Amino acid sequence: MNWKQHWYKWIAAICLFYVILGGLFLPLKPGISGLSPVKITTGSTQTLKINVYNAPWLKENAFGDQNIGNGEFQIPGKVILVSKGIQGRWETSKIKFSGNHGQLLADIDFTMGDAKIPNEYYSVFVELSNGKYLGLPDAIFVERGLDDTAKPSTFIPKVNAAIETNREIFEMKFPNRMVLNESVRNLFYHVPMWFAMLALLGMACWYAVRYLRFGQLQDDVFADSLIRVGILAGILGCITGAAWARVTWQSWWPAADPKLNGVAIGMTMYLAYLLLRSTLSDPFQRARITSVYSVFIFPIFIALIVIMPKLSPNSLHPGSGGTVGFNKYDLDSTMRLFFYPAVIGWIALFYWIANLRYRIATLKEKQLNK
Amino acid sequence: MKQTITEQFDANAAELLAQHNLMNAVYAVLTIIFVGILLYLFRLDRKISKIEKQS
Repeated sequence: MNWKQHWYKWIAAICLFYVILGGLFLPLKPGISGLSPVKITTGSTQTLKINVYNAPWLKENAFGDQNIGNGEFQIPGKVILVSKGIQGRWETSKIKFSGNHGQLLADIDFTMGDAKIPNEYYSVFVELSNGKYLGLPDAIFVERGLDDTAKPSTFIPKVNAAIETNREIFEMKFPNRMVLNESVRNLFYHVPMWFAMLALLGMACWYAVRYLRFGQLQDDVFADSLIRVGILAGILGCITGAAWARVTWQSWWPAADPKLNGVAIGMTMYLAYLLLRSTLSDPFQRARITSVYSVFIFPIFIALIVIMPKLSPNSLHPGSGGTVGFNKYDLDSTMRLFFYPAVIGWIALFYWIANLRYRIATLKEKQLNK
Repeated sequence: MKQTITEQFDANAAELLAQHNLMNAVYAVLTIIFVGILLYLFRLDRKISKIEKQS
């Protein structure tokens, strides 16, 4: 077997096998998937219902292996509501585990009294006695009740750094993010489509320049194959993105997003390339004109889908509004272990397909010249 | 969205959990990709057949 010719095919096969298997079967980190109520009026003790996700140890930790059955059971730990604006928190150690719903129930005494506390959103954390914790940022709104004046305040002010909201414990599990939940795995399937498209179109641009420089017709045929398969990756990126957006952003195509508008314009430019190519019959004339066109549109395409969304403050995509897409808050270490192989694997696969198409086109050409 | 999900919370916790499980989105995305790639491969296959018939 000739390794020089086949190495990227093996990389595609191994990377994608690893990414699809790992991406589908590795579990999510435990987290809070829901909360009730989401708005609290102070002045009395109230019960928070906290829905937990992927935390089988919660029951085991509190009760061992015994079958606890239905009902409500006291467990050791704390529920803490951390303020976003001022430094301080509400907390309670009265936590119960509900056997019938798998929920946590926390009784918290909310009294503002005469303390000056603004109405605002709080993040909710559950800290158990074994050091495990669950969190949900900006989950609950606390506002002052009208009759909340008589009793002393139960708000605990100025305990900063009491809980680290970004505590990193390396586990071979995917992060549990609000809204995304299990669909965080789509990072390995939807996002690399765009990486593959950019890689293929970039290579096509390179081969188009090569054609214009050296005038070899096979460079143009290869560039054309790369562009066609690049468009395939782009179309798959659009459709998978729509399916993902439907369940997370609640819309098939959130038209306000600059990245989507950029992609729509960019894809039209490349579809125009196909149209342009189909209207020209002389192979040399076709090669020259379409090469110039594809060299010309690639930088515009980059500007539309990479640079413009970055400059815009209101894109839903990560990495927009002046931030960097792959810093430590956006992509945790387990995700990286799968994301980078996914990008390499999908690029290699699409390159492979482009190569097949190029060889077929060459065969056809040879046949026509016979 | 945060409002609507938590408002339904008391109504039916199990139903909410099923609604919150977005694993189906992952299966959908993978299916779309494989169907897309397969359709393209079938097209290439047809092209090869054409060339084979002519030679």
